[in-house]
Amino acid sequence: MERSNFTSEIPIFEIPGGIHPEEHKLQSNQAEIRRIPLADELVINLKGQAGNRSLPVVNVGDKVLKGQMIAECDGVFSAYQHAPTSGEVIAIEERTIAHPSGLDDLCIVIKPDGEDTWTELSPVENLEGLSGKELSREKILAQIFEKGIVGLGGASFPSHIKLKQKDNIHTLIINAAECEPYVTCDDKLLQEHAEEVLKGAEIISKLYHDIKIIVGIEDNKPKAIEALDLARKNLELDNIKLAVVPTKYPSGGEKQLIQLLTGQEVPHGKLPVDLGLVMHNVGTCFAIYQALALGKPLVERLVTLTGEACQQPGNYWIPFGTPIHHLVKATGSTQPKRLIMGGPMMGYELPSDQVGIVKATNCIIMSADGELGMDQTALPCIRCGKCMDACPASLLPQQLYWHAQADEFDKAEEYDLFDCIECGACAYVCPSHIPLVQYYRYAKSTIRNNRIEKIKAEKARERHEARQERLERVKREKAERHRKAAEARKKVAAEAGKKDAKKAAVQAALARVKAKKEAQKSTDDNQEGEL
Amino acid sequence: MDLITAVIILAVLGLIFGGVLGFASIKFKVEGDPIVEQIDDILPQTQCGQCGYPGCKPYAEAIANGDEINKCPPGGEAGVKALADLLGREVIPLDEERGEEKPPSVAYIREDECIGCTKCIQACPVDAILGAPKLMHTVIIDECTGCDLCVEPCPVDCIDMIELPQTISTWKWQQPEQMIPIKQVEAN
Repeated sequence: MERSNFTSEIPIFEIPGGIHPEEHKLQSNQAEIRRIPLADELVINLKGQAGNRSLPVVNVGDKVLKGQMIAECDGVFSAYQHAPTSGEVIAIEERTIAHPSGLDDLCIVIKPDGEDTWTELSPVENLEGLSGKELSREKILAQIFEKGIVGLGGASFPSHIKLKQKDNIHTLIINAAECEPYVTCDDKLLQEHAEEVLKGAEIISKLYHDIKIIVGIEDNKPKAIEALDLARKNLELDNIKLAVVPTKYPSGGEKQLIQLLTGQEVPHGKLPVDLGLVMHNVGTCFAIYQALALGKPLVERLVTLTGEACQQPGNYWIPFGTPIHHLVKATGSTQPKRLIMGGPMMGYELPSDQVGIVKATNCIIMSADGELGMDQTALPCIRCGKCMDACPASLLPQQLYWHAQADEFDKAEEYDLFDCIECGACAYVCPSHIPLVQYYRYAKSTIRNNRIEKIKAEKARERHEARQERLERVKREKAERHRKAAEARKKVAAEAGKKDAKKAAVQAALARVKAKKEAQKSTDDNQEGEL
Repeated sequence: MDLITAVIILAVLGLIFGGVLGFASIKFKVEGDPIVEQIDDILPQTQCGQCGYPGCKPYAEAIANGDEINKCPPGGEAGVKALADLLGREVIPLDEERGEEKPPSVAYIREDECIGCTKCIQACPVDAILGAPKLMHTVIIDECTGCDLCVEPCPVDCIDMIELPQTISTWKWQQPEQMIPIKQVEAN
């Protein structure tokens, strides 16, 4: 593929490992960005972002307008959802969602009315005329929050959380590396909308005091680099630096790009903000620009449709919730052998073609038979060590594999399993075709579940102990009460006994008197009789 | 003379070390038996009593005193393995008489059938049932350990054990199938 000869404006550092898979980008980055007709129904997954599931605020039968809020945040770590088109809510129910598990989750189903009528939009007036001081931080963050913006690079992390920390941030990195094979949506977005992306970056920079902006991009996107350079000149944004990095997978990973551009490694258990860095994807910058300048909530995104089974590969603006089978049909494609959401390295196979696209969907690969080489049989590990050379996080993949396979999770953690970014470079180079990443995902998810179970067990133990203590206390108190009652009774009885004695004495005295009298009387009578 | 010096030195050393040990035994006194705590940490805390002891802690104490490690069905094979690792014992299969490993479930009271007898409330080891005499009872599912103990005392049989459905947040990746082909080699 063509390489750009643009010289990077900042020095570029090295990352360990990495691979050079076939790029397959030419398939989809030639045609202009297009639209496809609306689907018959849109299935909006409420768990389509990292964090909590959004809570629906519409009812079945409601008419909604495009951009109208249909689900609100559940807490701060969540995102608002908006209607991707105008129409009617026909169901709020469990449907299969875009997730490797193939499980169902709550979705709002909208039947479009075909009008695509926007609701009233609320842009920030005179945005470009305002300086950082006039445009308050709260105002920008609130707008980003309310328009449902999440990171569009793949993880869908709510953007307002990422932008929250204000102090000690010195560099904003715009991630345009797009290192995954097949995926070209960021490339295409820059080719056609570089100005809006840079304006979005400019808005983000207003959140901070005195911040550098670096755009990190791989040298396999010469047109996008040209477009960026031109947009920068047109907008007179000379503070933005272009950093062109050599094409190598996975240079677009957050930690990898940081290392390439700054030479710093994000330490274990820390975040880029701890190094004073904040990174956003170009798609997110574009969405932020749209949210503030035009007041448009996030209701669609650029998706690469590609793969050998796709008849019209390219990049399309696709409303969220559009079912995959509609994309297959609308591009006139043959029935794909496999459907992959995301790139071939980090994406996952979709369980069904009924699922709707979500905010994280950057690419759908409609693969033909044998295209992705996923059906190879795994052979035993021969300890060749190639995976170690390919690992961009400097881990020991084969050790992780052995421990994950033997369920020795504590040992896997000792080998820093959680620093693995699941890029798949190790599995790519493995001569035995061992599905290494799946082992790491298995180990990670098992460890996470075990932790949750541990917390639950701890709670059960506490409750059980509290109950035991209570029963014990109740028993003690009861015994105490009985003892007191018995004592009281005894006292009463004793007192009653004393009274009885007195009474008896009196009685006895009375009886004695009576007897005496009787005796006297009888002697008197006798005497009288005798008389 | 040498003999006396040696005896005195040894006696002094004995006194010093005795003092140190005596001091350490007071200063670093261990409350309770740490091995029991460690065993109790591994046990699932369902408090179900399937092991024959009235709760997880008593069973932990029994294991520390030499009882078998395979009497806890809710802990499952993984629990037996963890206990074997901790205690340096052999991994043995679960004792079938005690019951079998079941998927996680919670109790559910069919509320319109409940007569409010409070028997299940008294049976629940973790106070996960809410209710009052002659009033309807209900299970707080987040607190329920799925121990089964409330089912039997119910006079109207209105408690069901319901398996917890798998959701996106409880789902986990499966280990890939081990695909190491076995080749049969025939002897000449």
